[in-house]
Amino acid sequence: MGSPVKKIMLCSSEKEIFSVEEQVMVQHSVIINNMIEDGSYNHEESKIPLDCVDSKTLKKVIDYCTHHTHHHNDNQEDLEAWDAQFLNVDSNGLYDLLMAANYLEIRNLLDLIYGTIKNMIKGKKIDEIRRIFNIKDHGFTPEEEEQNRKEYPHFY
Amino acid sequence: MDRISGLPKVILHDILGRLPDKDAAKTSVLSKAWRETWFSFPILSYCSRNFFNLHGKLDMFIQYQSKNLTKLVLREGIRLDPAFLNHSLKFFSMRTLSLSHVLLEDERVIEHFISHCPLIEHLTLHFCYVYNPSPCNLQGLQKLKGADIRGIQEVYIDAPNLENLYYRALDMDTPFKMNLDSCTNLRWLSLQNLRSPNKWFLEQFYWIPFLESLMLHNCSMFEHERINIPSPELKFFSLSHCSNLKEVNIDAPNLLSCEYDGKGNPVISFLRISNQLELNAHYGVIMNHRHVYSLREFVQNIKPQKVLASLSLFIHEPYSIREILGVGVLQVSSPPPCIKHVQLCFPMNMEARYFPLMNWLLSSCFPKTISFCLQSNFNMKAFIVFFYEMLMDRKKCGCYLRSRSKQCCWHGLKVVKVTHLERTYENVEDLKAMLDALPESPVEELITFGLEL
Repeated sequence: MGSPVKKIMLCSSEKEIFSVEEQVMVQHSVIINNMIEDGSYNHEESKIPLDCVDSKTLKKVIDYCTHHTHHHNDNQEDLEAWDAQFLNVDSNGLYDLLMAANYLEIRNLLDLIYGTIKNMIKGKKIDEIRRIFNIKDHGFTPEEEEQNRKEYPHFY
Repeated sequence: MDRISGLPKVILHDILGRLPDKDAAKTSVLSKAWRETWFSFPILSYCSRNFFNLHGKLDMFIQYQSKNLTKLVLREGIRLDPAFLNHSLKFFSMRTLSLSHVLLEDERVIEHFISHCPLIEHLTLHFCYVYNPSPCNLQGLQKLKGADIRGIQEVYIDAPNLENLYYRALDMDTPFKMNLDSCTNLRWLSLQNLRSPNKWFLEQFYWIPFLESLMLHNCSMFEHERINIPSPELKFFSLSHCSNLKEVNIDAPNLLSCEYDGKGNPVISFLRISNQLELNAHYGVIMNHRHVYSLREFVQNIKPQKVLASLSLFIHEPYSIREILGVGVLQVSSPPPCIKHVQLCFPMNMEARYFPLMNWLLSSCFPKTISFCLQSNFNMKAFIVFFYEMLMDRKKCGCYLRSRSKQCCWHGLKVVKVTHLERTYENVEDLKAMLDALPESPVEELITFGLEL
């Protein structure tokens, strides 16, 4: 049954090690693909340190890449439903995922998150967006805020 | 601060770029942090109706951001006066400029504005309201790649690297003037509503060396109702609703696709053609006595005949078919010309018209395949069954014709294959069952008959 699946090691900010199929990460992450291609990753001893990605986020990123590698032939509806479920996180979780996807250059995950943030703004009223993003202090003085509300009532 | 607002500006700009202009503008009042993000966002789309009410805001924005601005969109009722463009202002990053329905003193304001954007690549000018119309001179635009200009009657473009140009004159009889002399790199050209003949423009236009796509819509700028296209690199040509054209001569050895859309009956000839060339015609028929033979003439007047790949027919007054055609045979002496494909798309709701229509159509041309549009408001179902039964059981057809000495020329035609959504129907029962099962709501699907003599 063919050669064993090649694995690579990823290390989170908490120094927890995750072992992932090489193909899964190479397919999705531009950075890891480059590391494998230029030989800077040594399969015997290297692990890739991801100091700005915590274990919880890294696990999710790996889940995403694994699912999209093994289910890329699924019908579009199923994939979209899976993605929606996957991104059902609070705005902090979304932030962590975005930074991780940005760091590892996972283009399709980035697009997915951008799209989600876009939908948090599109067609919504200001107060609603502030609630979604958890903006507690908008930083405007009461006068400025009143002025904005007067000038652009349709936004509120 | 919340974490999303604290994302790097470049990421937030990427997100703003995906939002509709109005939603992007909205983020400027979300919080101080988002306002900062919005102010450094290099795209400004501004419309007096939807977003900002105050003029000063726009001026401030432009002053503050003029160096980094990559895209500026001004729409609907914004007034652009010369004072607005401070002399020290240069838009060095501006790649895209779009002005639509903007109020202007005269066209020189546009020239002046554009001269401040030396690296502009895409320019859109739509129906600007001008107090003192004057020629619009767009000079020295070295980087300009694409332009979309509508509603300006006099335009002179000097842009040696311009590749795509869409020009639409106002829909009226004022003469347009245009000079594309230096635009020798044009690849894609679409012209609309060009009305009065302008010999000198035509000379330039016929000799654009690298032109690959040419679209002419609602134009009547041609001398002697004739158009000659000698275009060595042309790959796509579309001619739509250009009335009073009698003759279309195309000498384009690389042409792959040609579209014709209209009611007129021009003689379309191709010299030097490639093997792949296909002509797709959309022909709108108005039924009156004068036009009974027009479809046949139109098909016969395409030279060489083999380029005609498909013909879609729309009959404007199908209710008059019976009155005009009766139940008789069209008096034609030779077999009608062959066409690969015909598509029918019109309302069909009286049985008395079925035979005249079918007879008229098949006396005008022999399609190898024929498709009927199943949109429910066209009531095509009964006609499709009639069409099938007529062709499969030719005895009935004979009944119609027995009284006539002349036999109908499509007498030997039969249906060899009926398909709908990749399924094949073998007999009339299956066909009826399928048609009955169709939903009542409008469906854009087609049912296709393969025919054989």
